[in-house]
Amino acid sequence: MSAAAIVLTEDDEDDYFLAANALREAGIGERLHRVVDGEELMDYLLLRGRYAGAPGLRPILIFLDMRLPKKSGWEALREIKSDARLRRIPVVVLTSTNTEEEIARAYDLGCNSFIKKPANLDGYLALARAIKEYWLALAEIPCAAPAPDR
Amino acid sequence: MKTELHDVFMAEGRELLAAMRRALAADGPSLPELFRFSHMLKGNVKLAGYPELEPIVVPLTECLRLAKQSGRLTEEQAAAVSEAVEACQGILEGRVAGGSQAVVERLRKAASPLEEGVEGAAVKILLIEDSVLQALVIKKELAQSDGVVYAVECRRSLAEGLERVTQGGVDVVLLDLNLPDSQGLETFTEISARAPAVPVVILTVAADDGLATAALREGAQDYLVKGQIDTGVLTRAIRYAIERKRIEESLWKARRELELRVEERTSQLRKANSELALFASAATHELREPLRKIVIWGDLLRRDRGEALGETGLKLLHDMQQAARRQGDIIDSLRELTRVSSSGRSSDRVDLDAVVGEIAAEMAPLFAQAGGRLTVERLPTLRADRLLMRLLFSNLVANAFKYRKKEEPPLVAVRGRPHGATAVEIDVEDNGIGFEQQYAARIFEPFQRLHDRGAYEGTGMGLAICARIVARHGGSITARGEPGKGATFTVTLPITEQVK
Repeated sequence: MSAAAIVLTEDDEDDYFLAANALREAGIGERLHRVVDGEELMDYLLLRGRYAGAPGLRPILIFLDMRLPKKSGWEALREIKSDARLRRIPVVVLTSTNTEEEIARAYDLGCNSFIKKPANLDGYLALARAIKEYWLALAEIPCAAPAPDR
Repeated sequence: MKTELHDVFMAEGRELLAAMRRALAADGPSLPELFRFSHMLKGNVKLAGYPELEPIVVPLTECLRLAKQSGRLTEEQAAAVSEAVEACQGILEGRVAGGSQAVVERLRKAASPLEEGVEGAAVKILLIEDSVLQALVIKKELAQSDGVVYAVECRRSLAEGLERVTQGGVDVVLLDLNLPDSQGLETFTEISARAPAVPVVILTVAADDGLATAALREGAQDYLVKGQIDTGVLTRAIRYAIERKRIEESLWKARRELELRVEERTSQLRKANSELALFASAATHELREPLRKIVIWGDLLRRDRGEALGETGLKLLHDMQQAARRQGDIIDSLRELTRVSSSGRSSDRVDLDAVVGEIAAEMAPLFAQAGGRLTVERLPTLRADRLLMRLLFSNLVANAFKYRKKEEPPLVAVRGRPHGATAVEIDVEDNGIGFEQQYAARIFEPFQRLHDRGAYEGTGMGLAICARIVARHGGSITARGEPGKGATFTVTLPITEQVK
């Protein structure tokens, strides 16, 4: 596994399939790691639970769905952005509802982008290309987050 | 120097004592009877001049008077009375006992709770009257009443009266309106403001009838004309005043309870409503997601297997996706409708000129493309929810644009004017295809469409949303139209606070 990964938090098989395929078509699919809920995301980031002792997992970007089982995307986002070891990792919210309130709340919690899940295939492909061009090429991001305590 | 008369009185005294013993021995002695015997005995003892008996008979009679008034005699008290009767008997028979002082003590002790009971049962009257003579007359009349005990306290000025009534423990106020420090109706209003729960009976002179009626209108319970007051009139007025006030108070209490219950129900309803809104929001999301998938799987199908589908297959696929999109739009608009109806409403200072100006700027390219124009005139500033106002007018303007005539450039005007002192009216007028006036009310209902779907896209929810927004602001919306001659939507909104 590459040292720098893109984490995709998604419980829905269809949506994971779509996003993963679109990212693969854009040429960044092999760096993808999937977690299915907020708990697993936090375990992955903090090297806990089944990720305890896993080597060098340094995500460079997190895709976060808000409607998740167990720990919701909202809770995970709050925890990530209030943790000094994690808050530098860019979080792109990718969710299916986009009311004014939700967008405002997500940015208040410190998300770095808020994107509504595309309504068609072209939308997914465009999203994957844009992510690649913006977050992986254009934008400067910290190359490594501080390593979490073991 | 014992006389013959003395013997007669004392013989009678013996009979009275015997009658009391019989009465006391009975099950549930008659208290009025006991008191009557004791009262007569006291008279006899005085007339006979029997100093050894008097110290016992006087407290005995007092004790029985209190017992009669409070209507009860406990075993302990009955025992003290019996003992006193025995002691009297003993003295009369010449067996002068040494313990008469102890008997008196026991009587006093037995009588004291009775005294408290009687005082507690007494009707406490505050008489505010500057004429000492008048006060005496009233006290005397009250003292003559049978049965009920009246405890009368007198004050001679409004200031003293106010002070006393504030301390509480007043059942009824008898009030002379003309006092040294206050005259007329004001005397009553001061008292009633200080002690709204205490009934007041006005004391007036015959010439002041008008003033008395005015006081009745202000809430006084009754009025009595000085010089025409006797015990019956006075006690009846007091009894009725207290009773009426009690009924008024309990009515008021019942009303208050009712209000509280209504409040409680309203808050339950509000809670149920917001739960329902939450449910609707979650449900619409769940309903919408599969439709998004249908569209996307269709896209994949077209891309990866499009050649195999052929022209007809691709057309069917396209129609299927269109239907899914359309259902998605309907669900979105339903969600919008519930959100508009149930989400919290903020109260912002909204400059409608600016809000509609923004909408006009956004829609300018559309109007320009169609060769038309959108004008905004004299819109007010008011207190409302800014986002909802924006949604309202953008829906109305979009509606006006949508139903334009194909052959004529669309001209849409948004105009405000005052409507009375407390509201504004805003017209959104167009030169579009119009509608038949008979459908004017129906177009605000969800899913109602007057024109066929092929020609005009939409979910039929836009005007329903407008109607909900206006209703949530306490306003109203109406539509006027004629086929081929355009339509005018008129929004009336209250100006609750002066904001300009």
